[in-house]
Amino acid sequence: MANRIKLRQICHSRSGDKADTVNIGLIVYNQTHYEWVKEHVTVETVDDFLRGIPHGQIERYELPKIGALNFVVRNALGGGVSRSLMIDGHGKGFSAILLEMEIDAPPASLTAEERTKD
Amino acid sequence: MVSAFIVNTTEEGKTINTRKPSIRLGSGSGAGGDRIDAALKLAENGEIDYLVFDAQSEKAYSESALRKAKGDIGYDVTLGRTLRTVLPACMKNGVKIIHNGGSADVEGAVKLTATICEELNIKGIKVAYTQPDSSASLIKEIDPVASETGEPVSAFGDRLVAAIAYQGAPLIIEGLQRGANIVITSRAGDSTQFLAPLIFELDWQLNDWDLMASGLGIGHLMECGAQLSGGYHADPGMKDVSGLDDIGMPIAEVYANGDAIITKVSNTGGVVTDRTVKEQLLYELHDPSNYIHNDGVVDFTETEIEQVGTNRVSVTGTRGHPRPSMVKVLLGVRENFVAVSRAYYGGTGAYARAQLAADTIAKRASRVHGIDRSALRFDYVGVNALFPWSDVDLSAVKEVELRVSGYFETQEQAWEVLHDVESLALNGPAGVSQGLRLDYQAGPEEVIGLYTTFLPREAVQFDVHEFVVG
Repeated sequence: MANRIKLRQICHSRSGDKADTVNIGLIVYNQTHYEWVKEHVTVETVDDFLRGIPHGQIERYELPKIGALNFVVRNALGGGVSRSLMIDGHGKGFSAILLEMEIDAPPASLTAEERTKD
Repeated sequence: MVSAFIVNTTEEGKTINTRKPSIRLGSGSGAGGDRIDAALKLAENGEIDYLVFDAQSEKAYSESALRKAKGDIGYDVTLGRTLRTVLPACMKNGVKIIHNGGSADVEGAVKLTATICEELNIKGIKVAYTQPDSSASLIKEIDPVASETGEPVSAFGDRLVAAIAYQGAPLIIEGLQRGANIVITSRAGDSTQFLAPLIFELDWQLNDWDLMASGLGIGHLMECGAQLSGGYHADPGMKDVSGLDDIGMPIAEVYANGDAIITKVSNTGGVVTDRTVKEQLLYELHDPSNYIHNDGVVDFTETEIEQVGTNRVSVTGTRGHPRPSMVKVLLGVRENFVAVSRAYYGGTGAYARAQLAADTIAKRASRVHGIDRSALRFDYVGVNALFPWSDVDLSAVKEVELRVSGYFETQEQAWEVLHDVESLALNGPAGVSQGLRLDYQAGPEEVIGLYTTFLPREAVQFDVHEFVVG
């Protein structure tokens, strides 16, 4: 069985709200991991990972130039921050949640040029 | 205007067009109540031309509308503190201020500005402001459909307390053309506030959609203040940021062709890297090829972000599409009341005792107070309040915060539940901890629900007025 890693080992993330929708941006630290992440972190796998919390439809957008995927998750914020009873009504914590998701580790060949800058 | 003749060459050898004059925009706040000492450093040491304050968010507008409805201050409550702090430095350094904290009472905000100028003995400055727009009366006349409900706005009846259209760049530009030192709007779009001075200073055409998108894209990055320069970013061991207690507010150095360098006030904490900029580009973004604003549509799919120096990141290649024909209108609707209360349990079995307490509250709400169970929410902080983490050993949990929240038709109902949480100390499970009254009995809050609708652009009329102090 392939080695599993948490997304936080190869990606960083930022999330935010618009009404009852949360978007979770996922960015690879190392551009060489982009295609791997794109293949493994899909609408289906994210939908499955988030199954423990109420949410609606998910859309995924690709931003290859900056090595990012953007997940837009509908009906995930308890009605939106003006009325939500959720602790995370602004959805800013969803970034940390998605980084807990596990995927197969990328092959060593991809990780070889691991970014060392800053 | 700052003239710059620096050539920035990126790592790939690409030359950013920095031979033309640039404008330096500073982001003074990401929300009402943001750090005022950071805004002051920006005004004093940022070498900026414009200081832009975003005091709006969906929530902030909701709060302003509610205060106004109660006869209280309808503008950004932190406006006074902001102006008192930054005005002297802005006047000394020739920095113009753009602020959207007028909210539900722009005239009140302008009066406050005049009072503060008098207090500080600042004379001869011009304040331009947008008069409350016609959207409220237009909404009655046209009765458009609310996007969220699919029903006409009139269905909200007298629960509708506010209707305000997002304002585009032309209003701010008109204020600047009239020579204003300060422009205050009720609800200019966050990104619009950054675009407008670029159009005015760099002679951009309002139908040059790539330039509109470049300016709006810069505004999108800048409008949350320190989130671009090291805030909401630190993750020790993965993404280290030093000096979070003194983050330098971000500065955008924008060139005539729409290219920009993002940087921050020197000698401050925080950091500007390609990572911080990429994260903020994704913040509150949906379809990156179709990010709709009042003044244009932004396409970020070709945008490039590159570190070009220490705390210097270039943003290039943003493309645009024509602005929408309809203008977005934010509706504020009175809904109900919310209340929150807490009790804490510690030691072995803490989670089981917190669950027993929740069950007790739910039963009493239903049997004694006639409140439906579905109106209540119970969160177990420290266990699974944010997410049902797969790797938490529930039997090992030694401290739990039971957070009780709910929707209530009346304030009285809310108080019944708040009292019940308080009286858990006497009637509930063993080993309960409660202390500061504020923590568990802060009182109910009225909800202003937010909805959106759209009006034809040409129908929404705004007036720009000016006021000269002293």
